[in-house]
Amino acid sequence: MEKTFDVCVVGSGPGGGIAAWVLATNGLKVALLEAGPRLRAGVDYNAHQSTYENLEKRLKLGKRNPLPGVWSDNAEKDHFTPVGDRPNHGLLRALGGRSLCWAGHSLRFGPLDFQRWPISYEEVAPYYSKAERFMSVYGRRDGLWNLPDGEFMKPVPMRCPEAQLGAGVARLRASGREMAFIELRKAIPTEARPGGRPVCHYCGHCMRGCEVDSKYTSANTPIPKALRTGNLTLLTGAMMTRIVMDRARHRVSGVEYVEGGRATGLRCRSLVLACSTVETARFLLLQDLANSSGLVGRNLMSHFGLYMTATFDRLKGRDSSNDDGTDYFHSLLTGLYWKTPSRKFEGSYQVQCGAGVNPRSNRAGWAPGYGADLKRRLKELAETHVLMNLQGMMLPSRETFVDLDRDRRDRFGLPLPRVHLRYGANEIAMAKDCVEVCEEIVHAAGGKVWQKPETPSPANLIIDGNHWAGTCRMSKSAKDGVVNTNSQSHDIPNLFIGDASVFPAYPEKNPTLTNIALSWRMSENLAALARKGEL
Amino acid sequence: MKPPAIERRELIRILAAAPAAPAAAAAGAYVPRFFTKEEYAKLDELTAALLPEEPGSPGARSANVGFYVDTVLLYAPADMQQQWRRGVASIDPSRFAALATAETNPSTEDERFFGVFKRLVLEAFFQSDAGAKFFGYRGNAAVSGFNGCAR
Repeated sequence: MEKTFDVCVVGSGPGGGIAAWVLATNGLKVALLEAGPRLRAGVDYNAHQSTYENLEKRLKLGKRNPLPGVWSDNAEKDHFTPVGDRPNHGLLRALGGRSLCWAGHSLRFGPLDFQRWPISYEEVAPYYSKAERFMSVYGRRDGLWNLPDGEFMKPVPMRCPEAQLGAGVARLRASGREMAFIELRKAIPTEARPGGRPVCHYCGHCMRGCEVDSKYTSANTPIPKALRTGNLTLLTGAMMTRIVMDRARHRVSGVEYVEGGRATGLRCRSLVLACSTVETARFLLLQDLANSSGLVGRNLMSHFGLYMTATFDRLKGRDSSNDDGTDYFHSLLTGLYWKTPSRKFEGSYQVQCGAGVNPRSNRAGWAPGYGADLKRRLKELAETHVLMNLQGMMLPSRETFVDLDRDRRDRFGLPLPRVHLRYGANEIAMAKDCVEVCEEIVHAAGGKVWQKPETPSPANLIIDGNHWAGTCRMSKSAKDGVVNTNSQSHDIPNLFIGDASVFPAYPEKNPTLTNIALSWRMSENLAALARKGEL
Repeated sequence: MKPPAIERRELIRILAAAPAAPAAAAAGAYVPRFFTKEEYAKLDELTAALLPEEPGSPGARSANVGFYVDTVLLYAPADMQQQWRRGVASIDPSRFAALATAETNPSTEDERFFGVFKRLVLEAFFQSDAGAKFFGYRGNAAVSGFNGCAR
């Protein structure tokens, strides 16, 4: 234990990256610990490469997925012990964390969503604006009250099958139905700005890792900017193994970590945990810290989904030569059950929609038959299909939480986390409703449903493995949550949490923009406390 | 405003790192490593029946699907390898019509293998240059703008 930092940030994903930058620009001396290595865009991941050329090289490395991808190639799939319904999850240890493999979907939570939070939309809105400008978010100003507009670059349009689906939504809206169909909003620059990242080149590989760093990641924007302030010490390949408390256990005094096989440590006046929803809870549970409420690890939430496809015969033979764009989903069905809640389930869902011929990722899917007939069907399906991806929120319950697996340990000897998730009646009811609503839209749009789950059930629903939230919930009082409205521990005044684990409730919308806005807000508050000498 | 030149150069460098199929994978030149010569000839017959060559529309042979399948199987687990050896010997293009009727609900080993066979052959076709040509796909490229349905 030698150096003393003002703040140690653990985890370099969306929340940790922005915290490092905001804290460093506020003049604080920051150490950023990232357990993984730095992956170089275009070198360590490049989805443009020929699959045939790389097939054998990848198979030799045990990589069966034909397309190189930052997530499929690097995630540790066995890090979590699943209990209940299995999420498709892994841990991505790398500089930038899961911001490397997100699709960039940047949706504000709205006033309705914040009704279940101890802070209001108005309190977070300025940070959404800062985040959108900083991240370069594109989108159209749609004027939706519960999906507020932001600071957008010019939008990216839909492909024809998506637009066709939108015509179906317009027909239902005309008959008084509550819904909207909009272009997605993503953290990918569509306009050049001085000092900004390269403008998107619309190759569609966003989620597999953007090889030219157009898409926002922690590794390509806040961390390099923070390093240029001279206030950030970046430690990659540095795995935190213990939070060091002072003798009275009231305050964090440092962290221990392993770097290159060597155990070491650093001192800090405050600590920001941004290790992801599950890992942050795990670290606190390992030492039973910040847990006077007993709620660390509880209230785990996620999104779940299902896929449906529809086809529009009138689009046969359309120009589909390059529909890549900004990855597969360009459009979003939203605005469902905001004003008038469903009588069948609690909450809302959104449906991400995509279309387009990209044989390499082949989302159009399978067609029956063989021979020339099969070829004809595959081509038609590729041209005419639209895919609808339900994203609904899973209600937290006593059966959804994170705890420690005493039987499995990581290579540092620490117990691995167990993730308990289970579909309840609410999720099944929501999924059934989604299938019905999507069918209505498809029919109103003059299309045909091509593939759908016959009866939604735990067997054909998919838990989103990237959208976990809620294990260190934010609350006004110490008995109802883990952190206060500044994302500061109720129990340990110099411990802050900068990831989505602080979400006390979860709407249907993607978490990352809100995670970044909250971490920004937390970091400004932390810096203000430091200036007042209260750390 | 155009993005700085350095970024363009970087983009070109990265896109140039995506070469065409290697010489070893050129049609006809490939010597199977997992399948025997006889098995490979049968595989070729099966893949060509699933995705035939047509005028102006490439099929499995132009895609060199055999190379892809043989290479995947070379590194596959033993049970998958055995299933393929048995399956390739057992099914026949003359039975595709019957096998295809059971596609969504296979019950026999051959019916199950037909699905396994079709999935991997389609994967190989979709990943190939010939597959891109078949779909008229000109993506996986750098373009300066995206017009969506308006183009």
